[in-house]
Amino acid sequence: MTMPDDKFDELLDHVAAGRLDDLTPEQVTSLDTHLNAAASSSERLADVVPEADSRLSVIAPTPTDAEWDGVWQRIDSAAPARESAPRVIGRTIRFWQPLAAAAACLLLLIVWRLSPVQVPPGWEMRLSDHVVVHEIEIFGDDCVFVAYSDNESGSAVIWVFEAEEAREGA
Amino acid sequence: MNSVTRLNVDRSELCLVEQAARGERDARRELFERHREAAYRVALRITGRHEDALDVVQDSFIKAFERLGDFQRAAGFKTWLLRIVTNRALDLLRARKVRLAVPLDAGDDEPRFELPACNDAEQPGAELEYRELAERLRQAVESLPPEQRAVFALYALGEMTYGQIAEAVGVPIGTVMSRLYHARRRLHRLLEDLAPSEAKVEDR
Repeated sequence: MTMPDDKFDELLDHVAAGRLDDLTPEQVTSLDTHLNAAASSSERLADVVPEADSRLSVIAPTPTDAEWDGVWQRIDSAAPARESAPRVIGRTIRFWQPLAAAAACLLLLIVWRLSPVQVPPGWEMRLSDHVVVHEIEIFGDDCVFVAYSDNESGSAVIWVFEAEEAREGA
Repeated sequence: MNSVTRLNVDRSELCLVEQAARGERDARRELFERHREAAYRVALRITGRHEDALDVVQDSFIKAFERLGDFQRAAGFKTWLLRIVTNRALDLLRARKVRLAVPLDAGDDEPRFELPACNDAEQPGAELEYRELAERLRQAVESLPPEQRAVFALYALGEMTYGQIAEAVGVPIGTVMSRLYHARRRLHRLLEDLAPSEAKVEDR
């Protein structure tokens, strides 16, 4: 169906003025085709908010605060956010903690090797030539160091330093 | 798409979007709180169910935050988000239709639809009346074809322009106008008894 341009303008005026319901289905079909073919015409409607109808805008129910909180928690856990600066520092501290503990342990070994040793009569004291740091355990601010020492005689020594002792030793 | 949209870009919102794209949690939370109501309303109009609408809102925000890098800054975040919501809700409708197809497919092309009677006697309060009205509208909206339902859901927010609706649904403005016209017409017919003087729409 063809329609003169001024007729389309008239129909557009109706729609822009919020009187969409005044049009017939045939007029709407023609206008639809015209708008989709002519960008300049559709521009006239681009910024128009269609007429409101209070009967068609009621809505129920609305979510409760608890429901919204639950939705947010799931969104938040699904898309892990970047940590804020203080938490980055916290991670850095956690990263350096084991290294600091290892350095402290190394220092303890050096002190142990250089310190004078009380040897019971009849015993021979030899320094181990094979010392392995077997495990470092950290509980909060405390550090427990476990060293496994093995030499040719097959003897093993496990050193356990409690936090206080470790601090004193360091 | 030949629709032309002129969207007001909220600068403060653009900042929020950029912060959210960098992964800042507070910015994401702010965007969520700003747009959750609109997202919910659109989702509820399309799905017709509270729980489904909440799921759609949740999935849509997750997807939006994952794809903030794809967001075209020329468009409003809300319009972009509502496009995701609309698509997600329509996907859910299609999935539900597939699930229901086996038990309900008894040869009828049109889904069976019946509005509850408008019983305005013995209603104790305005809230109950409002809820009944909302329930009747919900059922009426469920009788719309999905593509009309999506346009109507965005229109019913009461603030979106033809251009924004076209952007959110991904169709030209003329199509939006046409779908809205038919949706409103059908709803007026189904809800005729609510306001007889306004709602009489005859087939012409």
